[in-house]
Amino acid sequence: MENIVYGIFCAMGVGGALGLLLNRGYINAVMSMLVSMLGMSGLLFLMKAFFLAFVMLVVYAGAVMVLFVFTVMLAGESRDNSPLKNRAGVVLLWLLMGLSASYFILNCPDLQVALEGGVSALSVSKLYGLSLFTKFMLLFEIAGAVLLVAMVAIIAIAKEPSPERPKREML
Amino acid sequence: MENLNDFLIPSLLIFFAGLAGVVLKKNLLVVLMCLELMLCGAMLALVSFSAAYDDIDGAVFAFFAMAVAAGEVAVALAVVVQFFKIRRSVCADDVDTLSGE
Repeated sequence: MENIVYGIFCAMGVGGALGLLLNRGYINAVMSMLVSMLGMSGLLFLMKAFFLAFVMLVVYAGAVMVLFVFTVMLAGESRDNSPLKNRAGVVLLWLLMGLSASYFILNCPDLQVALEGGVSALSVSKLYGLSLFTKFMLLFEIAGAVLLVAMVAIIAIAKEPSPERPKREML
Repeated sequence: MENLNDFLIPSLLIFFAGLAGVVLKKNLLVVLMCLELMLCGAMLALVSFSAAYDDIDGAVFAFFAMAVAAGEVAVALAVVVQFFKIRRSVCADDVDTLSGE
């Protein structure tokens, strides 16, 4: 049963990623990315990282995807006019991927991920809070500052220039 | 589906699909989406290593990566929208304001 679920989530994650590469319509691309995010969230769930799976659903499948759909509506031409013409590049990239995948398979330490029945550290949400507010306190504050700066920057970028100031020649 | 490899291989595939998009696509929106995909693939690898060693640090790091990625994509999309207002295009080839021609 678990193997079937694992296969479905893998197919969703990888298939969605490939769909994003191959789709020409914008909304189709965004939706296939959404499928990919859902699959990845399911994989996190199978690793018993429940909290991260939930955050992934909320942040990526919720907020970021909505942002993308809005931007597509604001700025998108109706279709993506950039087909994958560079065949040599595609082949080279996938060759590289095959090499690194075989490296992974050959040299991967023989570790178990999802322990049967056992409670892994990732499945306890309390540990995330403890870790965030003790060991990673500074990093946590810096991440908050980064998000604040990003918000101010977006407002500064999106604001129309005021009429009394001379408009600078941009192009 | 219990070995570390079972989770590393999908993350690798997703990462490389994103990389192919970033390198080969010309549309800025699609490039940004593929960038997100790359980040997600790396995050999946982080969490699977974290789960394999039963240590929460990697998962917390993935959490930070998620927060920073959300901020990054918001700024990038604002820039793309402003660029579209100026040039009426979201093609990466049109971003040549600094080329001096």
